[in-house]
Amino acid sequence: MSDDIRESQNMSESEEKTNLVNEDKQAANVSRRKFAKLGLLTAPVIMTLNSRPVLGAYQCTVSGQMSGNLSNFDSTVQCAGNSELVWMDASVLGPQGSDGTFLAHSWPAPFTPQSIFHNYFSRFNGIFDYGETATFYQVMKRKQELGITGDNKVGRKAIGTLLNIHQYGEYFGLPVGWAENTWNTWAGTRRELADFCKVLNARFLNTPPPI
Amino acid sequence: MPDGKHWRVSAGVGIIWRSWDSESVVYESFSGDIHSFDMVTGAVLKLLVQHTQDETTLVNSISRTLEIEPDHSLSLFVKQSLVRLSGLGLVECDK
Repeated sequence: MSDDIRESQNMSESEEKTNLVNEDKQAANVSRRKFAKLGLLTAPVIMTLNSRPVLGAYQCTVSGQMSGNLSNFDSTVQCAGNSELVWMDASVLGPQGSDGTFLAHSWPAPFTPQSIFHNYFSRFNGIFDYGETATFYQVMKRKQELGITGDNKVGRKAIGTLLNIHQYGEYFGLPVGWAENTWNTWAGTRRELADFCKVLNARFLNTPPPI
Repeated sequence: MPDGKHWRVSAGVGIIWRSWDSESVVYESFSGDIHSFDMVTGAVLKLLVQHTQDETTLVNSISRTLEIEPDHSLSLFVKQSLVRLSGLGLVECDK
């Protein structure tokens, strides 16, 4: 290859490299300019809007209760929820038949005292395993029915939360699916979950029982 | 610099999204609150909704998604976003 050709080839390669470098710089400059635009935001921008009763009962939500914002208070809204003990009371369960079922219960559909607990709450996430066939009633009366203690009554309290959500909807302040999802994804201790559900259930203790 | 902590969406949090180019608005069903986020903070939360991630992975994912250079400024911004989201109870540090 002649020197002239070699030299011109080197120059083309050099020009090509220069072009590539320039393109990279341009691309980098585009990215940097984009972030530079973001850089005007010196800190994350998060605005929390104190919602009006979007679902009609914001004041029944946890945040609504904590906000104490009287400007949004709706006196026509009656928040509601029962302690888990109410859900296992004889007046709510109705009489027990000879086959062990409760046909006259006042629980919200689709749940009955015969519903299988672990069809809704995971057995295997470390909270508590009541056994594959344990019913809601058996979990609530776990000592007498299943011979179980030392569970912090977590199943009973979770059932109470579940039934409150389905009975009272937005007036209990938690969405459908919340109880199951919380149990199934809980990363704290069993006692913490039990206490959490107990506190949620006890927020509106002047609620008449669902009979 | 990211310190390797793992983050995830807090248990019980339920989110409904509406997103635009530069911001997101979310309704969080547990608290009943509505939040508005800048683009990066919204991206952080969206990534954590998918699965638990450490800070380094979050920074790199956001860098790719939003075509932003993954430098110290972005890392700091992500860290601040996590702190703010944690303060709202939306995310928590995985122990």
